[in-house]
Amino acid sequence: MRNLFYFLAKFGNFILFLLMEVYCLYLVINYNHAQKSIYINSSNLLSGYIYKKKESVEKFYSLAETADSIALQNARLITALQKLKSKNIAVDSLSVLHDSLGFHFQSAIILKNSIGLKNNVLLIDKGSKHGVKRGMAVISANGIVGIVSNTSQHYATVLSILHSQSKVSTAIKNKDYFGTLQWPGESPLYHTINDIPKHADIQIGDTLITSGYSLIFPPNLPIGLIINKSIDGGSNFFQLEIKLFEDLSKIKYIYIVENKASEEINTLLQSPL
Amino acid sequence: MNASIIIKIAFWGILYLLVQVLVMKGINLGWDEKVYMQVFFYPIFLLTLPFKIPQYAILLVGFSLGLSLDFFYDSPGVHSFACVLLSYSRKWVTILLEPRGGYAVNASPTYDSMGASWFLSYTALLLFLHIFSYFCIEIFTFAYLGTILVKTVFSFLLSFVIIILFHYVLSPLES
Repeated sequence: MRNLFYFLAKFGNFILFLLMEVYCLYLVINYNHAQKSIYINSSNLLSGYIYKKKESVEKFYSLAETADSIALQNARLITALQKLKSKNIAVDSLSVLHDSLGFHFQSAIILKNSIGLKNNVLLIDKGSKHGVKRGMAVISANGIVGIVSNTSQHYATVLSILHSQSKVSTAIKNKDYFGTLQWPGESPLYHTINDIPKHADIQIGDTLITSGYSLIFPPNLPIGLIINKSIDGGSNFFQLEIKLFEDLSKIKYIYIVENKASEEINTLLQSPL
Repeated sequence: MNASIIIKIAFWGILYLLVQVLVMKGINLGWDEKVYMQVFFYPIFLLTLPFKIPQYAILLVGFSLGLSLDFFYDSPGVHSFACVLLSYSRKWVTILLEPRGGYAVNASPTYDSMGASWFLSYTALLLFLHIFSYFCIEIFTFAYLGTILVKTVFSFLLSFVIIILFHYVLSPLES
């Protein structure tokens, strides 16, 4: 017994230190397998509340800028509406509305954003009470933002496309090739695509859009431009560098997209052949 | 250790935590559209805890500060790991830098109590260790050793300047 006390007095601090570090590493590793939900997250009520307070102060100071960006967006929408009207086609015609059929949009505000980490997560001010569910897409005026990962009653966390686990199905505009958008973890503006075969006819300057194959993002949303292409020796695939249209370090207003058809399609896909 | 010092430490701990997540977290500097500088402000809290606080208590304070930061950064374990390492290494750096004749009984590891050169080297060593371990754990693979080092060095310089300026103006845990 005396030896035990002696041992604890001598090495107790070191053992405490080791135990804590092992626990921290356990948290880190557990988190890196992102399939498990993030259980220390900012849907957490207290930190969500504090961020909301901070946000309301910040929002006030950027009102002018916000008004400008909303005015711009309105202008774009009005133009699109005018074009539609001038075509003089019945509104229920599939040829016009086909692209957005089944998608439902809801606006939200980002309460917390980060771009400097390896795995960035956003916090938004809509939650399960507003119908937000895990797996819904989040887009902004100029591009895509991420996918909802967890919801609480009033808040939701969004796995940003600036996350090492983020994968978005994309396509090249006016060409039928499709690939997976990934983030190498450096600049928030640059992403990569590594799975387009090298025989594909790809030009620098081509526009990247969402493919719609994942049923999460609506198809044909512009994402960014191809600014560089290269092929690793021996590889059959292009390495494309993409510059995003949306600067994720600046956005504040986003839209949550619900695909009304996704449930039906998923049931169909999972039913036995 | 009496109740008043515990309350004092808890109060300043929460204050540092809020300054870090509400102000310093927003500072992300870099170039070529990449972020290389983040500000680590809270280590000054763990650094300036008085010498008379026992080691296990410092470890516990560091661990809880780290976990609270992780709540705000959505990075379970990353800040905690670095904070616990910092809390533990504090003692060894103190021994390493021990002045001739040892430490006075009621001394604190602060600028006023220990003098400029001691405090600067003490802060620099531990802050660098903290930031380096933070980026190692965050990035979690040594394949990116270059990125880790660049981020560490630049974040360290910026944090160091901010911490020293702050401490020079106001040393809250003094006395």
